Amino acid sequence: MKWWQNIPFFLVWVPLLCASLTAVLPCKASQALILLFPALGTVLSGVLYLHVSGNMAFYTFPMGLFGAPFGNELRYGTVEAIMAGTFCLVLFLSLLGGWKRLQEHIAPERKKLYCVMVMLLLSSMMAEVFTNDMFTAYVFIEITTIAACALIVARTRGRTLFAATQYMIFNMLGSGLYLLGISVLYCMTGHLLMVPMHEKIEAMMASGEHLQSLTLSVTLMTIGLGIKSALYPFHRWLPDAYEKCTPSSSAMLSSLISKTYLFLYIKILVRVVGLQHMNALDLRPVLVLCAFGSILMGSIDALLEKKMRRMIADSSVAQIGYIYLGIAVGTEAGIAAALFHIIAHALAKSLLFLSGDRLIGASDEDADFHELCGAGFRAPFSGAAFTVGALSITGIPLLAGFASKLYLSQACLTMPSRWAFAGLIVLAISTALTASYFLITVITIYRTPVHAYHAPVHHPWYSTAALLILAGLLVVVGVCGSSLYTSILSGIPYLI
Amino acid sequence: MTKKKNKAWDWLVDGSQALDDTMIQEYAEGESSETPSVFSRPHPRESGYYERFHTWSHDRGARLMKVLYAVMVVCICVGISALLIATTSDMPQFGDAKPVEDDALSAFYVEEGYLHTGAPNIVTSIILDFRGFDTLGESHVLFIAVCTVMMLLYIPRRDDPEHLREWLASEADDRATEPHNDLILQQGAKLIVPMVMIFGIYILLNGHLSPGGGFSGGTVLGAGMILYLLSFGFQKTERFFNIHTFRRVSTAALMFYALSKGYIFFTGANRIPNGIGTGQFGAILSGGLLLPLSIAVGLVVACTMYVLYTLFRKGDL
Repeated sequence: MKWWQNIPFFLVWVPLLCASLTAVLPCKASQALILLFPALGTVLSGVLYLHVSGNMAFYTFPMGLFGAPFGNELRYGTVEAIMAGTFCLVLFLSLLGGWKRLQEHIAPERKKLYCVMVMLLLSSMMAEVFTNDMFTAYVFIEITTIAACALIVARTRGRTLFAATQYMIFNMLGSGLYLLGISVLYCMTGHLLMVPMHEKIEAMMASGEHLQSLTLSVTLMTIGLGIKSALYPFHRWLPDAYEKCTPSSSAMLSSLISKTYLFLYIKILVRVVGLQHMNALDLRPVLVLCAFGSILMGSIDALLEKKMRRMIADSSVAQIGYIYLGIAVGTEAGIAAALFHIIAHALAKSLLFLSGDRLIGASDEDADFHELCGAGFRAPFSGAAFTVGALSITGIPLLAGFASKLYLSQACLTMPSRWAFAGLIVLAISTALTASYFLITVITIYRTPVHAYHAPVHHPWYSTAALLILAGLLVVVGVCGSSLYTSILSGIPYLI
Repeated sequence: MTKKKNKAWDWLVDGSQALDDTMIQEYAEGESSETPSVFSRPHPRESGYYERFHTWSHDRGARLMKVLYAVMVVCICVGISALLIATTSDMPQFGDAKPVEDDALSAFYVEEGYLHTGAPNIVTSIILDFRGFDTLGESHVLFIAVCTVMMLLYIPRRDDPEHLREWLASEADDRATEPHNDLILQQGAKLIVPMVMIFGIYILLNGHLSPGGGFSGGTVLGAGMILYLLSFGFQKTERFFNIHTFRRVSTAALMFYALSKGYIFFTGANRIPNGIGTGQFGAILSGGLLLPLSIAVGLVVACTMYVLYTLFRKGDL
């Protein structure tokens, strides 16, 4: 085993080891650690990507002396390296971009606990990205869920307690359904590791036995992970949860936590069930309809919102709909488009939450839209960053959102003609709706102010730098989108 | 039209008038059906429509939604239950060996597992050795759960008057419900607690030999500590267990666990000999790292149980 093949193990293990340490270290040291580890994780994932991208292969890392099928295992290839790098980078930039607000919003005795949560979140995300085992995924989903609740309640203000309780109830239901799905699958296959499970499923599909149980377990897992990633019609917990917590938490919740569940779902469909069986299990119509519902209802909800952060939160539902649409296409191109959209959305949504909060900070707290007039002049960097994020989500060329929508619509065309046609129409309607609510916001922040405001909050230079890096990444991904897409597409056969 | 409605009507027509406090009160207590919201002065016909729709949506509409909600809940629950029950008939029979007969997984665990781990208890060797990564995650689930509860409920002892008042209030509230030196409880606890603790330690230490292990032993130990706290009060327990003890014990246990599992994972994957023997089969000091790992898990579980109890009881240890 070469030295770089150990990188995924260290990405999972070191944050887990240091999570309990952050509870006893001094506060400053804990805070330094939660900035250091995601940054290191990004670099290490980059190194891993450089090593795996050339060779058309996947690698396994047995957790212990006994590999599959006797013990746990990590497994990785190009796609996993790209996703791990993206998640680490977005985590780092979200923390850095909201650093000042984080210090203001969180009571001193909670700061260390917040660090514990971030550390365990990092470890559990990496475990979900790299694991090759259904039950390990479940254990780390639990950690992610509890960490997410804590990230919401870390700032106890207004409706955060209510939002966190709602989030917890919905997400526990989701975890429960996922666990039920695994146990049904385990009953039939006798395995928990993904690859041996897939072999048994292949045999079952060939003989046509237990098709009903298989459909049920896949449905349960789809609903479970759908609830957790806010798929329509299970999305009602989302705006409350994302609105009132500190901006770094909102950015993490929307661009990391729901995305790890989505990546896990993609892995289950591709590696365990097999894309070629999606039709036999009647999965496509359900996924397509839920995706359409998400896209349309998310956009309409966002259009009706009066508060900026709720609007950004609601637009997440629509974006998650796009990702499910890519999954529902069920081809390698569709999955690649979905993964590309995960990356584009993770970058854009964290940027929007961070810069949007700074724009609100430059106006009155809890302000309606018309209070934001002129915020772009009062906080010029945040205004520019918000504009870039909004344009990217809308899908303006040269930005990441355009590339991802292009690949999605290309993938849509490979579906049967009815679905393809419907998909393109929904994409068009939703683009128009997204443009209307995001561009109105952009115009609002550059209008003449309605009255005088207090001096805007001063943010440190590194937070502004984090926002500009995120905006720059959106441009880079938008311009060089094709090479990233090709790289993901070439890695999909080794995700199987 | 009742008096309440008249009041709402007046307010609705004359929008400049500030909202009546009593109306907000009534709305909050669910007595009034009017929503206190702010409108500019409406056109009379418009406010007539508003009145009609508004009373409907708060009156009959709300009742209709309640009924619909109840019907939907029952339908969905019954439907899902029926679906799950119907599917069990499609699943392999209980005790059916067919799904597992043609692969070596169970056979390996049962027939050869002890050769590799040196432990007669197959369950412990699976959860702490073969699938040790899951259990490592699981013990961190306990840790993160305590941290979250601590974030919500822990009342810090700080010098500023507001926190001090809150802390004193929680102390006083706790004293109010606690049985003060109940003689029967204390004499009973004096008899039972040592036995519970020794039994817990026995389960913990014999986890790799007989049924038991970290999770069950830790639960017994935690229950023993809670019983002691219930009968003798916080003054006695604070002498040996406070928030710092908890932090140190659980951090040490978790870090030992993570470090030793990390060592095993790393050496195992890289095919480096790890130098840990299995010892004599069936002896108390055997099974490689299983015994220390059981103790670590047990400490985490016991601390978690005790701390969750005290945090929910008065927000402090």
